[in-house]
Amino acid sequence: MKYKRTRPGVNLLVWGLVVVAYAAAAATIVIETRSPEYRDLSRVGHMTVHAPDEARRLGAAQVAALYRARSGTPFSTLAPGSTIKVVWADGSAETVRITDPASPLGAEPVPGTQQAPE
Amino acid sequence: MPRKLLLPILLVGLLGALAWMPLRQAGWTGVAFVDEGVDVAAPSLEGAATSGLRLQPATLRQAPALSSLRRGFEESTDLFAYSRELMMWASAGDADAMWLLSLVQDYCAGFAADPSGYAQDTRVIAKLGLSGGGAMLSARQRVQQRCARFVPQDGFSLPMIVNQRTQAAHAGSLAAEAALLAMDRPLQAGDDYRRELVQRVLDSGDPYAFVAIAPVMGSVGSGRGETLGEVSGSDLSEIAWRIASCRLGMDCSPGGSMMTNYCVNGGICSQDETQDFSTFARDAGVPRQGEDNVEEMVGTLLSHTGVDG
Repeated sequence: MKYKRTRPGVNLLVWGLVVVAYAAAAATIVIETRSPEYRDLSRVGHMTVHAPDEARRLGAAQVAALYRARSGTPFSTLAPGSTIKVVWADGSAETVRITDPASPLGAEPVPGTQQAPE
Repeated sequence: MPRKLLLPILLVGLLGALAWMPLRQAGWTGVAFVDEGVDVAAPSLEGAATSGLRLQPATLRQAPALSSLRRGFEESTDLFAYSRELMMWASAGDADAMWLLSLVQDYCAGFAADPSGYAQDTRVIAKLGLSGGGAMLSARQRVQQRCARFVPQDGFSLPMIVNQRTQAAHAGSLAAEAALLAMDRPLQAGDDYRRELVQRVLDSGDPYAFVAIAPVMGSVGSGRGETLGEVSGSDLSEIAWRIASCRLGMDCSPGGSMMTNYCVNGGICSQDETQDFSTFARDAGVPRQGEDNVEEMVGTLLSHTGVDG
């Protein structure tokens, strides 16, 4: 049986693309607040990256709380230091760092990660 | 090993590591990783050796009772009235009153920002059918009742709380100083200060200082054992600090502030509403093979205070 040999460079490129695509998709948990389990919450339903820091902090902490409540391991889910990407009601998005799950202000928007609606 | 096999093997290893990171962050712990988790949680004796945070022999004793001002935070049914009393003490320079005031601000911030929205969200959450939904509703109602007289104009925000804790820390509140470290706003920069602060918290036996510093002792402190001490750097070590605070006299009962805050703000609620924090954490936060490990960590933390673990 004959096998067609691919050039080593092409092989490496394909594997490299697979790794980069996988890393991009897997690195961050994305929470879509327009989904039914979040959209009716008063501090989430109309949220945008343009809202004041404090409002986004409270909203993101609440979203993270409901995410944890659904997980099978709430203590280790979204522990302090974790980051999540939150997509707000208007489609704008930002990365949020968890600082303290026991505080209503325990989530901090990461400066420079805010994205306008796509 | 043939060279052409090397690349695929490396890539498979990399993909495995990339897959593990988000699953770990999302709280997934596969059975195959249990042993590894225990290892991560194990106290870093090497770090302890260099940091100087060592076990000290001490006579075992019971945790001292909380002061009446501190008991007020757990027992008051009207935190607005309680905060007025605290303000009076704080204006007279009482550091603990300043710290307790920041706890009231933090406890009530979610409600005070929008009282009617808070009530609406409670109704929305009731319809979600969460497994710990009953406990979350009870906890939210407790916050709503205790914080009822606060309004958005009270302006409870992170800058306000940081400012309040900074004042308290300067006035001598160790708990406030520990909280600022956990909020990544330490009074002083540098590892020497952090190391010395951890040692002061350990020596103090102050339950509020133990709780306040706990967030930084979790996985966020991973790889900083030399600065943060032997019990740091994993989810289990954070739980150990909190359990130790319970042993030191913190109110860890089902209706206490710790369980309420965890449930309302973190979504971490016990399905058994009779469980206190220590029981709940062991039940839901500690893998069976890690139980002895946590107990050992709690013992290590309490050995500094001389309180019976």
